[in-house]
Amino acid sequence: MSDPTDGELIHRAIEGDEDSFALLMLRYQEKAYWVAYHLTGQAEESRDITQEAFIRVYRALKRFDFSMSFYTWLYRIVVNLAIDRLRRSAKNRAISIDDMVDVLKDPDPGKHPGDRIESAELTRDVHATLEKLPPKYRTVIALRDLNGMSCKEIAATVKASHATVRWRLHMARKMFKEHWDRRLSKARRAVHDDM
Amino acid sequence: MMTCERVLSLLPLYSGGDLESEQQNQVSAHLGHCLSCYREQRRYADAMEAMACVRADRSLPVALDHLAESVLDRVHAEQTTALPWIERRWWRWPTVLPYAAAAALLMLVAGTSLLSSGDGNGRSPTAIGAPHDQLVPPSDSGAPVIFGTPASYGRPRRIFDFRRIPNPPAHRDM
Repeated sequence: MSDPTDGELIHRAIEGDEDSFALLMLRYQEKAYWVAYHLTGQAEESRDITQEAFIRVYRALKRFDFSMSFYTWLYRIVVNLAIDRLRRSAKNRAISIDDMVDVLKDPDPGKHPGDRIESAELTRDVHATLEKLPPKYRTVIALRDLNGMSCKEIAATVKASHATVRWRLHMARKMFKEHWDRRLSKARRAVHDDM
Repeated sequence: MMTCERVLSLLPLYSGGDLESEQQNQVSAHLGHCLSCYREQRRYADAMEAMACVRADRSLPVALDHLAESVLDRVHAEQTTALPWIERRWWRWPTVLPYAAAAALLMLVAGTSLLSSGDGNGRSPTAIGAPHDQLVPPSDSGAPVIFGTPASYGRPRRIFDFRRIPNPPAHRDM
């Protein structure tokens, strides 16, 4: 028997079948989490955002517009929640020690601990660079380059035209490259000074 | 043939493979023989590479194992703690508002009539409870009699003609 579609699961969930909603969550929780994580750069906060997004989805399930895809709707809620949190905590952004510990604790036997640290540092640097971008540009670049969504999907998620998304992506990559270059130059200078 | 200026403006989208294939090829051709544009493209490529590494790392920093359970738990908790009368459809502003407005109007009318009628003995509310020596005596000038404390002399309220009503006794022995 084939897997039920999102629409079927939503219909069942509306009728009170919680298992169907749980299945829907299992289907999208990781993707929703990554969207939040690449926007906020915070592991625990992203988990909270994902949880909050699913609660909002559950409350509004009866009003779901079946002409649109479920994940577009879900991602829109996640993006809005993430942007709200970004705006609220714009001043004190930093990767928490807990997040770093979580990254190091991650049981990935295929990875050397040194690689994990390097990977965690790179992730931190990329997120720190993204933080310098205004939210609307940051959203587009995170959805496109870190989550791999198409410009069309992003347009539906952020409720903007395709042309607007391409323009924002153009600007976002330009800004990201400038900040990234500066960060690299600073790191190179620091290494040079140490030697 | 594309100019350097045109190529530089296309590099952000080119670096992510977001151009039409024809434009993508034209930019590639230009980069093959223009060193300054090629250098600029390398800078974009470095930034894109860093993001690609982050994108490829799919090891979850936190566990999402019990997310579905905790979402359903919270939903259940909300459902049990929500007061049932809040959920009732009649207890909504659009429904209640006309009734609330009518009640407020009724109270306003009642309050106004109470203020203007006094205590039923012909005394206005400002005179009720005031010492009798502060009351204005009945006038023989033909103008309506106005009761009130000295404070209200400047802004008397003409209620109705008290000449038609017998004056109240100053003291009533019970």
